[in-house]
Amino acid sequence: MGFREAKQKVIACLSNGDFDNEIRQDMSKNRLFTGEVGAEDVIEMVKACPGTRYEVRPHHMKKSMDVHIMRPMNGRYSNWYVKFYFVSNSSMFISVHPESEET
Amino acid sequence: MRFLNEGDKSQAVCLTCKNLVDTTYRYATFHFPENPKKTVEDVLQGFCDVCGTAVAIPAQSTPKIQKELRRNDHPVEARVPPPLEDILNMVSSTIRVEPQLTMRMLFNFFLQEWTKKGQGNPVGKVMKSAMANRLLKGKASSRVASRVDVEMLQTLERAQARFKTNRSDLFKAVLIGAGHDLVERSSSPKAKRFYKMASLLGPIEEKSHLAATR
Repeated sequence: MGFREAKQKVIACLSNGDFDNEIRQDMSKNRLFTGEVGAEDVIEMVKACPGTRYEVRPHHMKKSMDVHIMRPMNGRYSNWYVKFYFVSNSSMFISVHPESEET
Repeated sequence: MRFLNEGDKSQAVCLTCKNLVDTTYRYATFHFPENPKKTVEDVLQGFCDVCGTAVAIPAQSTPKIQKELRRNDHPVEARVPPPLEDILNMVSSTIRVEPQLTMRMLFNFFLQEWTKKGQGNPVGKVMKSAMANRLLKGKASSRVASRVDVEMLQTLERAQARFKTNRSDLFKAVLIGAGHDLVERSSSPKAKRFYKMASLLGPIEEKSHLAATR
């Protein structure tokens, strides 16, 4: 899956409420979970991410799965960090936070 | 909006099984991973079909958890010399956010800044700075207060332990940091980061001498 497809798919998931938040040790790293940002804010982040600030990596526990990382460059969420993967036609958010924070 | 019900199936990477697993949604008590004693009753969660661990929170469940996160407010306060309260009021007026919430935002911002790698003990440095020498001379006759959620309370406690300080000096260090980094050096990259974050809550005071920093 390329950048464009990942972007379109995650925006569709966020628009439809078709997403989950991964339960991780430090839930504060997922501001979508804590409610500090909403789905519409994450859509804004994704839209503001250029291809040069997009990364895809194998999931550290399941190498055959892709984890998508988007770092918006422009707008009010410039330099935030969004990490997710796709599963069962929905999105699973791992991290949504300012990039300056340690992950 | 997708709405799930008990028994609906999905998949997720289970951090316990370290694998992609089938999951089943069901209502159960949600335990905050950072503090398992803190719970929210009857939250729809995705459970790993292999080991039974809760692995995912669907979008529809987050408002209920967020309500609990917001409900747990804890008062924190300190006595500080009056010029430090002036700094708080100055930043508060600039970002058009009431002082209690501004104080919380300052804690959030500075503790994030100060806990980045390679920072040493920034609280110690701030408390020995020239600005601290000037502003800490007076009697601590002003009361500065905030309300924080349990997560922030834990962050404050961790910061106190890490920087070997007490709550009162943490308040003072953050306010001196705000005076130095956000008021005196309002065009610095650090100040810009803070005001950009604050602007997410609404427009920053147009007439302020800090407006140019947006």
